[in-house]
Amino acid sequence: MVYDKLIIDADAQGVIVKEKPLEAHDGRIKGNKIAIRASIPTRREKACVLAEELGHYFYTSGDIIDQSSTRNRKQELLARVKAYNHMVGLTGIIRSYEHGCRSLYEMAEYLEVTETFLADALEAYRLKYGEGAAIDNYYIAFEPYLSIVKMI
Amino acid sequence: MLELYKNIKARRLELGMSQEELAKKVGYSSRSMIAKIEAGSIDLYQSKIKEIASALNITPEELMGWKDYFDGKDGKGATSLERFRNSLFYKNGLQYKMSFNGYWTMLNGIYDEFKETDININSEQLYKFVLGNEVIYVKESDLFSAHEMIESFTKTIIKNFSAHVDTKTEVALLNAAHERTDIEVTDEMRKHDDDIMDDENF
Repeated sequence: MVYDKLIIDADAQGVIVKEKPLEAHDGRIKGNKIAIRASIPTRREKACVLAEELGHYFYTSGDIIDQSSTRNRKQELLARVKAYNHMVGLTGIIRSYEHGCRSLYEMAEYLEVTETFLADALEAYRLKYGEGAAIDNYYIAFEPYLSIVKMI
Repeated sequence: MLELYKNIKARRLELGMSQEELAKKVGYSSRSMIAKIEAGSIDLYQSKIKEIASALNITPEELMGWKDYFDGKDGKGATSLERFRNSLFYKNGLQYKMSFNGYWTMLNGIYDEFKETDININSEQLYKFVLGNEVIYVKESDLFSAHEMIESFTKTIIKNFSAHVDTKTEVALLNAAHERTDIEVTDEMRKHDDDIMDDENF
């Protein structure tokens, strides 16, 4: 499972990850302590939350709770994009294509992420790459809808 | 091109003076004359050199490049931080005066160099750092001796530097949250989560 792997990786980096009875948040990070809401129903969802918190640990700094400041919102966005790259990534899209996934559901299933997370990731990539992006001998088009072309 | 023209420009920039200001001081109606002079396309006669020199608070000899005010350790090629430092040990005994604008320009130069080092500092910090947290208001027309000023500022820099480095390590602790979107979140619930995060036996 991706979730276990993330926890092991985090542990190796000296990050304490625990499941806690959080009420208002899916995930929280303070210093090197990460708390994941214990009542999240699936491990897959927990993995997505943890990936984002790790994005914070590795790429952001300071107190960014107050999302009314632009600086903090940028950092939040950065952490999310890093999580998308870790969990999905352009290569993930290609892998799922090669695996034979035919829908968003199958893709999420294969990548072991939630459908919402995958949709958010694809939206983030669409915002970043626009019409599409070429990677190796594949072309991923994000508009008008997700399609992958393998160039031979 | 003669040293003279380069020196006029260098000294003017050092003082943070605009071409317009200099033109006014030496009795030209517009800045275009100064621009032409600095470009070296106009020959200056002796009395005008004197006038420009006095407007720039420098002796004509230095302006002509006969005495090396601009050369050597103190001059070209040196970074403004070096220049700032070297000016302290300037042995000629030349007491040149510098306007507040000139000092400000120099300060900005130092700030630019700070940016290239790993010391994080913003202009406001540097300003405070140099002035020792005292806000000093100086009228633009006030001129003071650069030596006295730089000496006292340097002392303040050295005094404040260690303090600055110490406070630098106090970076705010990473603190971020991924709030739930499936339910309405209240402040009470947030407080509850904060307590969990602050718990010593996390």
